[in-house]
Amino acid sequence: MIPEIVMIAIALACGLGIALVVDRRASGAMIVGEALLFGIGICSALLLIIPWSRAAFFATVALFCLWSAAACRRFSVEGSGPPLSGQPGAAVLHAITILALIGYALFATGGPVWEYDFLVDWGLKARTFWEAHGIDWPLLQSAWQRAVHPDYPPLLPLAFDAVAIIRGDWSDRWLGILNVAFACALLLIVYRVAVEELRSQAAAAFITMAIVPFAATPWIGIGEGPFIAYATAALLLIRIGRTIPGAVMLGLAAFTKNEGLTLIVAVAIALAATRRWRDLGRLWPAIVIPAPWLVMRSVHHLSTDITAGNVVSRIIEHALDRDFLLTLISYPVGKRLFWAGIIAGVALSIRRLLKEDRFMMIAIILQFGFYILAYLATPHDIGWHIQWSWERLIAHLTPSLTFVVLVALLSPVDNRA
Amino acid sequence: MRARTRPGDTIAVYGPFRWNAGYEYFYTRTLYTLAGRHVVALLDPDDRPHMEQLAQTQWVCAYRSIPAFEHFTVVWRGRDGVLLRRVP
Repeated sequence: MIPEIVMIAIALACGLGIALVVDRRASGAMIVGEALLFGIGICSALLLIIPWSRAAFFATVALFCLWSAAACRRFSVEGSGPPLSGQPGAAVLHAITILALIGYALFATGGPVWEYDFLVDWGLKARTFWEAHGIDWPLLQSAWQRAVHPDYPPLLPLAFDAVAIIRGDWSDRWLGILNVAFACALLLIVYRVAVEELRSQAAAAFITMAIVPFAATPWIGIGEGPFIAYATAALLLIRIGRTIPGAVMLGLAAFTKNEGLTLIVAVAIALAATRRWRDLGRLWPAIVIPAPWLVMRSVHHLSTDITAGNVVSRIIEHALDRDFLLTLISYPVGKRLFWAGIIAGVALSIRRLLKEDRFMMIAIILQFGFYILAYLATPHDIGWHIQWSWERLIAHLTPSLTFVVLVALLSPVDNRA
Repeated sequence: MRARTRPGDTIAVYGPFRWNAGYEYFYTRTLYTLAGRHVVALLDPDDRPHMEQLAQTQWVCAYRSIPAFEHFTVVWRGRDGVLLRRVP
C-alpha cells in the first residue's frame, strides 16, 4: 500500500499551497481537507500535461511542494472567531467517527477493487491509459459498450494512474484507500464548517459523525466517492461565502463526473435566486477547470449517451409514460429510517431552511431535477438506467441535505430566531 | 491469459451465454483484465454471433467452454476456461 500512501501524501503537500492561496480564511481541519481534495485534482490534471514517467511526475510534484512550502511561509492562517474550549462529548463523537473510518478503510481495502463500474469504466480507463502511457483516445472513440462512458471526465482514472506511476506498475490491490482519503477530506471540511457555524465542537463532531455513512460510500473505486467529496465541499463552501475555493471544488466535481456540470448550473441559478451576484462572477474556476477536458472530448468526438439523438422527443415520450414514476419509486434510495429523520428534520426547521439556507435548498432541488431530466432523456432502457444509478445519484445530495438539516436543528435558539 | 499474450494482440472473447445472460458482463470484465490488448466480442447486444471477428484475432479467450474453431488450438487450460492460439 506504500505507493497509495505516497500518492495521498504528495496530494496533501501539493494541494496545501493552493488551499492557502484560494482560501485565506481556512484553518485547522479545513486546510487539510481542502489540500487533499485540491492535491488529488492536481496529481490527476498533471497527467494531461506531463510525460508519464516517474522522473517527470516526481519533478513536477516537487515543484508544487516547493511552492506549497513558500505559500505556507507567505500566508499565515487567519483565526476565525474566538477560540473554542474543549468539550468532552466531542472526543467521544470523534472516537466513533474515527472507528467508523477505520472500519471503512478495512472494507475498502479488503481486496482488489471489485465494483463492476470500476472494471468496465473507471478502472478500465485507468489501466488502459497506464498501458498507453497517456489518454487512450482510440479506446474511448471505439467504446460502444453502454457501461464504458467514454465522455466521462478523467480525474479518478488519472488519480489511479498517478498511483501506478509512483509504483511503476499497475495494481488494483489497494486502490480502495483513495476512497478513504476522499471521505476523510470531506469530513474534515464538514467538521470545520460546522464548528465555525455552531461554535460548538460537540455539535460539529455530531454532524461529522452523522455524515460518515454518506462520505464513506459503499461503491469503492468508482466516481461516486470523489464526486460526493468535491460536490459537497463545493456546496458547503459556497454556502458560507467562500465562493472561490468552493468554485474550485465545483470545477473538480465537474472534472470527476458529468453531473458536476449540471451542479455548476444549479449553483449558478441558486446564487442568482439568492441575489448573490458578486459570487456568481466568482464561479469562474468551476468553468475553467473542466474546460480542457470538454474541449478535448469534443475534438476527439467522444459521444455522450444522454444527449445523443432526439433528446426532446425522448423526454416527452418518457414523461408521458405512467411507468416512469412507478419505476423511480420501485428502487431504493437509501435507508427508510434516514429519510424519515430527514423529513422530520425538514418539517421542524423549514422556516430556517427557507430563510437562511435558500441557496443550498435551491441548489439541491435543481440538481435533483437535473437527475430526473437525465432519466427522461436516457436513450437506454429506462428501467435499467434507474435500477443501476438511482441510489448513487441520490447519494450525491444526501450529505449536503443532512448537513443543512442538522445545522438548522442544532443551531442555538438565538441564531435561529 | 494476460501473461500469455502481448500488448497490442487481438483477442476474441467466447462464452456460453446470451448477451444479457452473462456475455456482456464477461466481455466487459475481460476488457479490464486484458487492458492493452485489443479485445473483440463474438456476440453483439442483439445476440447475433460475429464469427467474422476470428479472421483478425490471434487468440480466443473462452470461458467454461472449449470451442472448436478452425485454425485455433488450445495452448492453455485453466479451471474456468481455455486460451486458444491461431495456428498456420
